[in-house]
Amino acid sequence: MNGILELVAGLLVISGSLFVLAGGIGALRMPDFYTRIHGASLTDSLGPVLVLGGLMIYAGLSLITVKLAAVMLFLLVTSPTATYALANAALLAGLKPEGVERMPTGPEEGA
Amino acid sequence: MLLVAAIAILVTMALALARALLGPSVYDRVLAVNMFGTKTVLLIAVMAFIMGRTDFLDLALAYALINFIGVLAVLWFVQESRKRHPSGTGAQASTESNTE
Amino acid sequence: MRLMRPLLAVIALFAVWLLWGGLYKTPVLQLGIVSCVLVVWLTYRMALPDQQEHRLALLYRVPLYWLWLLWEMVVTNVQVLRLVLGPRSALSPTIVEVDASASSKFALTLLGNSITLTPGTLTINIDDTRLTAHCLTRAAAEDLRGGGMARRVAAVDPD
Repeated sequence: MNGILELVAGLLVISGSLFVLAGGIGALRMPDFYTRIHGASLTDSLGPVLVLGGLMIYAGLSLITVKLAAVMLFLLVTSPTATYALANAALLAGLKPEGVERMPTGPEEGA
Repeated sequence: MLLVAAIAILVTMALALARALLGPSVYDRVLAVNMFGTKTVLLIAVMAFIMGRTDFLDLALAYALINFIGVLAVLWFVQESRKRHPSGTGAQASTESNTE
Repeated sequence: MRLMRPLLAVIALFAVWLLWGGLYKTPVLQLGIVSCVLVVWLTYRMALPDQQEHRLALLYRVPLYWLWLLWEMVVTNVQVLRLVLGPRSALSPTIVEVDASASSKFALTLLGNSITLTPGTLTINIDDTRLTAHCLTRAAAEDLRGGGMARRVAAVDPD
Protein backbone atom coordinates (compact mmCIF):
# COMPACT_ATOMS: atom_id res chain seq x y z
CA MET A 1 0.00 0.00 0.00
CA ASN A 2 2.69 2.39 1.03
CA GLY A 3 4.76 1.42 -2.00
CA ILE A 4 1.88 2.13 -4.38
CA LEU A 5 1.20 5.49 -2.79
CA GLU A 6 4.84 6.43 -3.11
CA LEU A 7 4.86 5.34 -6.76
CA VAL A 8 1.80 7.48 -7.52
CA ALA A 9 3.42 10.45 -5.76
CA GLY A 10 6.64 9.98 -7.72
CA LEU A 11 4.76 9.76 -11.02
CA LEU A 12 2.82 12.94 -10.24
CA VAL A 13 6.02 14.83 -9.41
CA ILE A 14 7.76 13.57 -12.55
CA SER A 15 4.86 14.37 -14.88
CA GLY A 16 4.62 17.82 -13.31
CA SER A 17 8.30 18.44 -13.91
CA LEU A 18 7.84 17.33 -17.53
CA PHE A 19 5.19 20.02 -18.00
CA VAL A 20 7.58 22.50 -16.39
CA LEU A 21 10.37 21.44 -18.74
CA ALA A 22 8.08 21.71 -21.79
CA GLY A 23 7.12 25.22 -20.67
CA GLY A 24 10.80 26.16 -20.47
CA ILE A 25 11.32 24.89 -24.02
CA GLY A 26 8.22 26.79 -25.12
CA ALA A 27 9.41 30.05 -23.59
CA LEU A 28 12.65 29.64 -25.50
CA ARG A 29 11.39 28.64 -28.93
CA MET A 30 8.08 30.46 -29.43
CA PRO A 31 8.27 33.19 -32.11
CA ASP A 32 7.11 36.37 -30.34
CA PHE A 33 6.62 37.80 -26.86
CA TYR A 34 2.92 37.00 -26.44
CA THR A 35 3.29 33.41 -27.61
CA ARG A 36 6.28 33.03 -25.30
CA ILE A 37 4.00 33.95 -22.39
CA HIS A 38 1.82 31.01 -23.38
CA GLY A 39 4.88 28.79 -23.20
CA ALA A 40 5.81 30.14 -19.80
CA SER A 41 2.26 29.80 -18.49
CA LEU A 42 2.61 26.08 -19.13
CA THR A 43 5.13 26.02 -16.28
CA ASP A 44 2.82 28.05 -14.07
CA SER A 45 -0.41 26.09 -14.25
CA LEU A 46 -0.39 22.29 -14.19
CA GLY A 47 3.32 21.93 -13.36
CA PRO A 48 3.19 23.29 -9.81
CA VAL A 49 -0.17 21.57 -9.16
CA LEU A 50 1.25 18.16 -10.08
CA VAL A 51 4.65 18.62 -8.38
CA LEU A 52 3.23 20.01 -5.13
CA GLY A 53 0.31 17.55 -5.27
CA GLY A 54 2.77 14.68 -5.52
CA LEU A 55 4.78 16.03 -2.60
CA MET A 56 1.55 16.31 -0.59
CA ILE A 57 0.98 12.57 -1.08
CA TYR A 58 4.57 11.94 0.05
CA ALA A 59 4.05 14.00 3.19
CA GLY A 60 0.77 12.37 4.19
CA LEU A 61 -1.63 14.20 6.48
CA SER A 62 0.42 16.69 8.47
CA LEU A 63 1.31 20.35 8.81
CA ILE A 64 3.67 19.91 5.86
CA THR A 65 0.70 19.15 3.60
CA VAL A 66 -1.02 22.33 4.77
CA LYS A 67 2.11 24.33 3.97
CA LEU A 68 2.42 22.73 0.54
CA ALA A 69 -1.24 23.52 -0.12
CA ALA A 70 -0.61 27.12 0.93
CA VAL A 71 2.36 27.40 -1.44
CA MET A 72 0.24 25.94 -4.27
CA LEU A 73 -2.71 28.24 -3.60
CA PHE A 74 -0.42 31.24 -3.43
CA LEU A 75 1.30 30.35 -6.71
CA LEU A 76 -2.04 29.76 -8.45
CA VAL A 77 -3.36 33.15 -7.35
CA THR A 78 -0.25 35.25 -7.95
CA SER A 79 1.17 33.78 -11.16
CA PRO A 80 -1.77 34.73 -13.42
CA THR A 81 -1.85 38.15 -11.74
CA ALA A 82 1.85 38.71 -12.43
CA THR A 83 1.43 37.40 -15.99
CA TYR A 84 -1.50 39.75 -16.58
CA ALA A 85 0.46 42.71 -15.21
CA LEU A 86 3.34 41.81 -17.53
CA ALA A 87 1.20 41.30 -20.64
CA ASN A 88 -0.82 44.44 -20.01
CA ALA A 89 2.31 46.53 -19.41
CA ALA A 90 3.78 45.27 -22.69
CA LEU A 91 0.53 46.00 -24.51
CA LEU A 92 0.28 49.54 -23.12
CA ALA A 93 3.94 50.11 -24.02
CA GLY A 94 3.03 49.41 -27.63
CA LEU A 95 4.51 45.96 -28.10
CA LYS A 96 2.33 44.55 -30.87
CA PRO A 97 1.38 40.87 -31.00
CA GLU A 98 2.64 39.38 -34.25
CA GLY A 99 0.58 37.84 -37.01
CA VAL A 100 -2.65 37.92 -35.06
CA GLU A 101 -6.12 37.72 -36.36
CA ARG A 102 -8.84 39.67 -34.58
CA MET A 103 -12.17 38.18 -33.77
CA PRO A 104 -15.24 40.28 -33.02
CA THR A 105 -17.01 40.03 -29.69
CA GLY A 106 -19.11 36.93 -29.37
CA PRO A 107 -22.87 37.23 -29.54
CA GLU A 108 -24.12 35.84 -26.25
CA GLU A 109 -21.50 35.78 -23.47
CA GLY A 110 -21.51 37.72 -20.28
CA ALA A 111 -24.75 36.41 -18.83
CA MET B 1 12.37 9.99 -8.73
CA LEU B 2 12.43 13.29 -6.89
CA LEU B 3 15.98 13.76 -8.15
CA VAL B 4 14.81 13.47 -11.77
CA ALA B 5 12.18 16.12 -11.11
CA ALA B 6 14.76 18.39 -9.47
CA ILE B 7 17.04 18.06 -12.50
CA ALA B 8 14.17 18.79 -14.90
CA ILE B 9 13.32 21.92 -12.91
CA LEU B 10 16.98 22.96 -12.93
CA VAL B 11 17.13 22.55 -16.72
CA THR B 12 14.00 24.68 -17.03
CA MET B 13 15.65 27.36 -14.92
CA ALA B 14 18.65 27.28 -17.26
CA LEU B 15 16.27 27.70 -20.23
CA ALA B 16 14.62 30.64 -18.47
CA LEU B 17 18.04 32.21 -17.93
CA ALA B 18 18.79 31.75 -21.64
CA ARG B 19 15.56 33.59 -22.48
CA ALA B 20 16.48 36.34 -20.02
CA LEU B 21 19.85 36.80 -21.72
CA LEU B 22 18.42 36.66 -25.26
CA GLY B 23 15.73 39.24 -24.57
CA PRO B 24 14.97 40.85 -26.94
CA SER B 25 12.56 43.23 -25.16
CA VAL B 26 12.54 44.16 -21.46
CA TYR B 27 9.27 42.29 -21.08
CA ASP B 28 10.79 39.04 -22.32
CA ARG B 29 13.43 39.39 -19.66
CA VAL B 30 10.88 40.10 -16.92
CA LEU B 31 8.88 37.08 -18.09
CA ALA B 32 11.99 34.90 -17.87
CA VAL B 33 12.90 36.21 -14.42
CA ASN B 34 9.35 35.60 -13.19
CA MET B 35 9.55 32.05 -14.52
CA PHE B 36 12.94 31.57 -12.89
CA GLY B 37 11.46 32.71 -9.57
CA THR B 38 8.43 30.41 -9.60
CA LYS B 39 10.66 27.50 -10.58
CA THR B 40 12.93 28.30 -7.63
CA VAL B 41 9.90 27.87 -5.37
CA LEU B 42 9.22 24.45 -6.87
CA LEU B 43 12.89 23.48 -6.64
CA ILE B 44 13.04 24.44 -2.96
CA ALA B 45 9.93 22.35 -2.28
CA VAL B 46 11.38 19.31 -4.06
CA MET B 47 14.79 19.75 -2.42
CA ALA B 48 13.10 19.92 0.99
CA PHE B 49 11.86 16.37 0.42
CA ILE B 50 15.11 15.08 -1.08
CA MET B 51 17.13 16.38 1.87
CA GLY B 52 14.44 15.56 4.41
CA ARG B 53 14.39 19.13 5.67
CA THR B 54 10.75 20.11 5.38
CA ASP B 55 11.35 23.41 7.17
CA PHE B 56 12.59 24.60 3.76
CA LEU B 57 8.92 24.94 2.78
CA ASP B 58 8.70 28.17 4.76
CA LEU B 59 11.50 29.51 2.59
CA ALA B 60 9.57 28.42 -0.52
CA LEU B 61 6.55 30.43 0.56
CA ALA B 62 8.67 33.47 1.42
CA TYR B 63 10.37 33.20 -1.97
CA ALA B 64 7.01 33.04 -3.74
CA LEU B 65 5.97 36.26 -1.97
CA ILE B 66 9.21 38.08 -2.77
CA ASN B 67 9.14 36.96 -6.39
CA PHE B 68 5.60 38.25 -6.96
CA ILE B 69 6.28 41.62 -5.37
CA GLY B 70 9.64 41.84 -7.17
CA VAL B 71 8.12 41.30 -10.61
CA LEU B 72 5.45 43.94 -9.97
CA ALA B 73 8.11 46.36 -8.72
CA VAL B 74 10.28 45.85 -11.82
CA LEU B 75 7.26 46.36 -14.10
CA TRP B 76 6.35 49.55 -12.27
CA PHE B 77 9.92 50.75 -12.59
CA VAL B 78 9.98 50.04 -16.35
CA GLN B 79 6.69 51.90 -16.82
CA GLU B 80 7.82 54.92 -14.82
CA SER B 81 11.16 55.17 -16.59
CA ARG B 82 9.39 54.95 -19.95
CA LYS B 83 7.27 57.93 -18.97
CA ARG B 84 10.35 59.97 -18.13
CA HIS B 85 12.63 58.87 -20.96
CA PRO B 86 10.42 57.90 -23.90
CA SER B 87 13.51 56.93 -25.92
CA GLY B 88 14.96 54.72 -23.18
CA THR B 89 15.22 50.96 -22.89
CA GLY B 90 11.51 50.28 -22.72
CA ALA B 91 10.81 51.94 -26.08
CA GLN B 92 13.09 49.51 -27.87
CA ALA B 93 10.46 46.92 -27.18
CA SER B 94 8.27 48.00 -30.07
CA THR B 95 11.04 48.21 -32.65
CA GLU B 96 12.99 45.02 -32.07
CA SER B 97 10.36 42.60 -30.94
CA ASN B 98 11.45 39.70 -33.11
CA THR B 99 14.82 38.09 -33.51
CA GLU B 100 15.55 34.51 -34.37
CA MET C 1 -19.51 47.36 12.79
CA ARG C 2 -16.80 49.27 10.98
CA LEU C 3 -14.16 47.57 13.10
CA MET C 4 -15.58 44.11 12.46
CA ARG C 5 -13.75 43.35 9.24
CA PRO C 6 -10.27 44.54 10.26
CA LEU C 7 -10.67 42.58 13.50
CA LEU C 8 -11.58 39.42 11.61
CA ALA C 9 -8.59 39.99 9.34
CA VAL C 10 -6.25 40.28 12.34
CA ILE C 11 -7.65 37.07 13.85
CA ALA C 12 -7.28 35.19 10.56
CA LEU C 13 -3.71 36.41 10.12
CA PHE C 14 -2.83 35.45 13.67
CA ALA C 15 -4.23 31.95 13.13
CA VAL C 16 -1.88 31.60 10.16
CA TRP C 17 0.99 32.88 12.32
CA LEU C 18 0.24 30.21 14.96
CA LEU C 19 0.02 27.53 12.30
CA TRP C 20 3.32 28.49 10.74
CA GLY C 21 5.40 29.31 13.77
CA GLY C 22 5.09 26.25 15.96
CA LEU C 23 7.00 28.25 18.56
CA TYR C 24 4.60 29.27 21.32
CA LYS C 25 6.62 31.56 23.59
CA THR C 26 5.28 34.85 24.89
CA PRO C 27 7.63 37.25 23.02
CA VAL C 28 7.00 35.42 19.75
CA LEU C 29 3.23 35.64 20.23
CA GLN C 30 3.47 39.33 21.10
CA LEU C 31 5.51 39.93 17.97
CA GLY C 32 2.85 37.99 16.03
CA ILE C 33 -0.03 40.14 17.28
CA VAL C 34 1.89 43.36 16.63
CA SER C 35 2.81 42.36 13.08
CA CYS C 36 -0.72 41.17 12.25
CA VAL C 37 -2.18 44.50 13.41
CA LEU C 38 0.53 46.34 11.49
CA VAL C 39 -0.24 44.44 8.27
CA VAL C 40 -3.98 45.12 8.52
CA TRP C 41 -3.37 48.78 9.34
CA LEU C 42 -1.02 49.17 6.38
CA THR C 43 -3.54 47.47 4.09
CA TYR C 44 -6.34 49.80 5.16
CA ARG C 45 -4.05 52.82 4.87
CA MET C 46 -3.09 51.79 1.33
CA ALA C 47 -6.62 51.22 0.05
CA LEU C 48 -9.94 50.41 1.66
CA PRO C 49 -10.91 46.88 0.56
CA ASP C 50 -13.93 47.05 -1.71
CA GLN C 51 -17.16 46.86 0.21
CA GLN C 52 -18.76 44.10 -1.80
CA GLU C 53 -20.87 41.78 0.33
CA HIS C 54 -19.11 38.53 1.06
CA ARG C 55 -21.64 35.80 0.70
CA LEU C 56 -21.07 32.44 2.32
CA ALA C 57 -22.23 30.72 -0.87
CA LEU C 58 -18.89 31.66 -2.43
CA LEU C 59 -17.16 29.41 0.11
CA TYR C 60 -18.41 26.25 -1.54
CA ARG C 61 -19.01 27.56 -5.07
CA VAL C 62 -15.42 28.72 -5.59
CA PRO C 63 -13.81 25.34 -4.70
CA LEU C 64 -16.30 23.59 -6.98
CA TYR C 65 -15.31 25.99 -9.75
CA TRP C 66 -11.65 25.24 -9.03
CA LEU C 67 -12.29 21.53 -9.57
CA TRP C 68 -13.77 22.29 -12.98
CA LEU C 69 -10.86 24.65 -13.71
CA LEU C 70 -8.37 21.93 -12.76
CA TRP C 71 -9.87 19.61 -15.35
CA GLU C 72 -9.84 22.41 -17.93
CA MET C 73 -6.18 23.02 -17.08
CA VAL C 74 -5.32 19.36 -17.72
CA VAL C 75 -6.96 19.49 -21.16
CA THR C 76 -5.40 22.77 -22.27
CA ASN C 77 -1.98 21.87 -20.85
CA VAL C 78 -1.82 18.77 -23.03
CA GLN C 79 -2.94 20.80 -26.08
CA VAL C 80 -0.29 23.48 -25.50
CA LEU C 81 2.35 20.83 -24.77
CA ARG C 82 1.77 19.50 -28.30
CA LEU C 83 1.89 22.99 -29.80
CA VAL C 84 5.12 23.84 -27.99
CA LEU C 85 6.93 20.73 -29.15
CA GLY C 86 5.31 20.62 -32.58
CA PRO C 87 5.94 22.68 -35.72
CA ARG C 88 5.57 26.44 -35.62
CA SER C 89 3.04 26.40 -38.47
CA ALA C 90 0.46 24.94 -36.09
CA LEU C 91 0.22 28.29 -34.29
CA SER C 92 -2.50 30.72 -35.29
CA PRO C 93 -2.43 33.58 -32.76
CA THR C 94 -5.80 35.23 -32.39
CA ILE C 95 -7.08 38.13 -30.32
CA VAL C 96 -10.62 37.82 -29.05
CA GLU C 97 -12.80 40.09 -26.95
CA VAL C 98 -15.17 38.74 -24.34
CA ASP C 99 -18.10 40.85 -23.20
CA ALA C 100 -17.99 41.28 -19.41
CA SER C 101 -20.30 44.23 -18.84
CA ALA C 102 -22.53 42.37 -16.40
CA SER C 103 -19.80 41.01 -14.10
CA SER C 104 -18.91 42.12 -10.59
CA LYS C 105 -15.30 42.97 -9.80
CA PHE C 106 -14.80 39.59 -8.18
CA ALA C 107 -16.17 37.72 -11.18
CA LEU C 108 -14.05 39.80 -13.54
CA THR C 109 -10.89 38.98 -11.57
CA LEU C 110 -11.80 35.30 -11.42
CA LEU C 111 -12.50 35.17 -15.16
CA GLY C 112 -9.32 37.04 -16.08
CA ASN C 113 -7.15 34.86 -13.88
CA SER C 114 -8.82 31.67 -15.10
CA ILE C 115 -8.20 32.66 -18.72
CA THR C 116 -4.52 33.29 -17.97
CA LEU C 117 -4.21 30.14 -15.89
CA THR C 118 -5.34 27.88 -18.72
CA PRO C 119 -2.41 27.82 -21.16
CA GLY C 120 -3.26 28.82 -24.70
CA THR C 121 -5.36 31.78 -23.64
CA LEU C 122 -4.02 34.92 -22.00
CA THR C 123 -5.81 38.00 -20.68
CA ILE C 124 -4.05 41.10 -22.00
CA ASN C 125 -6.49 43.86 -21.14
CA ILE C 126 -9.49 44.34 -18.89
CA ASP C 127 -11.79 47.32 -18.77
CA ASP C 128 -15.27 47.72 -17.33
CA THR C 129 -17.12 46.35 -20.31
CA ARG C 130 -14.87 43.84 -22.00
CA LEU C 131 -11.88 41.62 -21.60
CA THR C 132 -9.30 41.16 -24.34
CA ALA C 133 -7.52 37.83 -24.63
CA HIS C 134 -4.63 36.63 -26.75
CA CYS C 135 -4.99 33.01 -27.86
CA LEU C 136 -2.37 30.67 -29.23
CA THR C 137 -4.70 29.11 -31.78
CA ARG C 138 -7.95 29.92 -33.55
CA ALA C 139 -9.60 26.94 -31.89
CA ALA C 140 -8.79 28.22 -28.38
CA ALA C 141 -10.22 31.62 -29.35
CA GLU C 142 -13.41 29.99 -30.62
CA ASP C 143 -13.74 28.14 -27.32
CA LEU C 144 -13.35 31.34 -25.34
CA ARG C 145 -15.87 33.13 -27.57
CA GLY C 146 -18.29 30.29 -26.97
CA GLY C 147 -18.47 31.65 -23.42
CA GLY C 148 -18.40 28.37 -21.46
CA MET C 149 -15.95 29.74 -18.92
CA ALA C 150 -17.73 33.10 -18.65
CA ARG C 151 -21.00 31.31 -17.91
CA ARG C 152 -19.41 29.22 -15.17
CA VAL C 153 -17.84 32.27 -13.56
CA ALA C 154 -21.19 34.05 -13.73
CA ALA C 155 -22.77 31.05 -11.96
CA VAL C 156 -20.19 31.34 -9.16
CA ASP C 157 -20.96 35.00 -8.50
CA PRO C 158 -24.38 35.81 -9.94
CA ASP C 159 -24.54 39.62 -9.91
